[in-house]
Amino acid sequence: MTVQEQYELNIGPQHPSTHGVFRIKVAMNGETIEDLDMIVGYLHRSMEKLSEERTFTQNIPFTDRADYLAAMSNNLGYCLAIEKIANVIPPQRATVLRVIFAELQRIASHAMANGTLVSDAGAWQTPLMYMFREREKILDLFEMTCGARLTTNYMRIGGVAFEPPAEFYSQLNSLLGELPDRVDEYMEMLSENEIFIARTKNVGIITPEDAINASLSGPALRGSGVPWDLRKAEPYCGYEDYDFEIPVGNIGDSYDRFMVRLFEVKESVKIIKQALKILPKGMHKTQIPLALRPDPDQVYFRTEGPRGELGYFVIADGGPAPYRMHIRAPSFINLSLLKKLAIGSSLPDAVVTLGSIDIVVGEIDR
Amino acid sequence: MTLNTLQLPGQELKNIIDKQFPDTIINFSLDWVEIPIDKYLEVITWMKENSDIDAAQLSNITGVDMIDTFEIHVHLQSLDLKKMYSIKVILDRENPVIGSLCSLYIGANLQEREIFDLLGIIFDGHPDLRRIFLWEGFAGHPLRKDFLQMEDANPGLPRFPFEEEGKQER
Repeated sequence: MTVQEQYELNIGPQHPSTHGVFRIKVAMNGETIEDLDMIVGYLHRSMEKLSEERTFTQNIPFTDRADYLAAMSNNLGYCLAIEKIANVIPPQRATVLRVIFAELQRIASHAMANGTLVSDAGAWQTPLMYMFREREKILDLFEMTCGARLTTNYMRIGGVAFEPPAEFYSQLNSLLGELPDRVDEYMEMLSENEIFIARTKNVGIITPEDAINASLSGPALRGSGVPWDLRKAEPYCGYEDYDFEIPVGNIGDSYDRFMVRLFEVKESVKIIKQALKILPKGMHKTQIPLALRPDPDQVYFRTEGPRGELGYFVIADGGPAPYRMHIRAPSFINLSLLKKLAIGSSLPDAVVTLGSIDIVVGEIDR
Repeated sequence: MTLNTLQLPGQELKNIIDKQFPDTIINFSLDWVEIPIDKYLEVITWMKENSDIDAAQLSNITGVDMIDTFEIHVHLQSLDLKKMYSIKVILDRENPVIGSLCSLYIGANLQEREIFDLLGIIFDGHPDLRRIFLWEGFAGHPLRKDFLQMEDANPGLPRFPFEEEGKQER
């Protein structure tokens, strides 16, 4: 007879399945998880405190480094929040360029999320490299526009920093032509794949009630069948003028979250195509004072980032720096349900669940 | 400043809360209402359960050090009614204790731990109130305005070089 007793297992902070410096301590009994404690903060750079010492414009590079896989989306959220509090209106061309870059970033981020999820589920590296192929082309577009691939620092308060070069549009058009075929290729490769289905179907099921109660957002919420997308619910940057759908899942398992991301790539391609059609001529930026001093006020502005509701809560006191800036980080808050999902499941399933929630540690720790 | 598209104006939210809790709202502005700390949990529980408000999701909770006091800002939203509500509570600086929303929203757990870690506000009734980003034994709470500033510890560049005396703004 064997006596089973609880033992503690430590995963991370340096482990491929934790997607960064993220540590999980699990109490196991045999193969079953009985308790889970997550330890974060290895990447804490105290951005919120540092931002109180810097001007509104100087804070833009911090937002790149919060979610380093979606720098454009983070730039956009921050700039929109400051524009709102300072009453700056960007030119129409800048708004459309922002939509193009934010959606390109969403595709790149979803490619990374899905690639690493499939990698976690056992398809070691091959699908990841397939998805990196498309991500690479998007990063090339970023590089030719602003010189950086990850920490782009492209958006400015009142517009965007640079005009994209002439070859940008031809390369973008050829990428948009091939992306829907690529998505179909992934679906063919994975959505019917027996091993992938066995690893992800019915794993980490989140009910819609739990998803709402635990403040989940983004694909993690939509995978549970809740059609909530801030681009539709609270449009910014003129998203109300674009025609696109909100893909939702059926039962809220890891497979649904994977599929939601794949379908969102197709929707993003649709949005970029429409944006290219309406891209007006004109200025890409308005002039703002170097030391912008908004009137004392507070603002909470939210955008739909690739991982969910990305909110910036800013208090201005009339000075050149924010009195307080808080980033509502979707990766951090989406982890609220991890403990509940992991208890009772096996360790490989918990790893797939974590991969399907799609965390970026830079954003968790800030 | 204009309101967010989904945000219920402070005046309207005040009118709704006034019907259930007369004379509770201390103050309100364009986008927020301020409620007293002893009614905090009661009002939010009611807002969650009342179908006209339906504050089903806690969008964001954060704290601010206002030097004399602390403020807690809560943003609740209803996904069905497509509305967002902004609530503010003022806490005593010397004894910053407030009820925890963990029994109402699972999503409050991590966010309240973050506020406790960085601002030192204690959430009464939180099941697992520990530091989250910083380690146990870290001295002080960094987001407090009286926390040791970088210049004090390590003399370096002034805060804003162009604001120094005798220098013109760039």
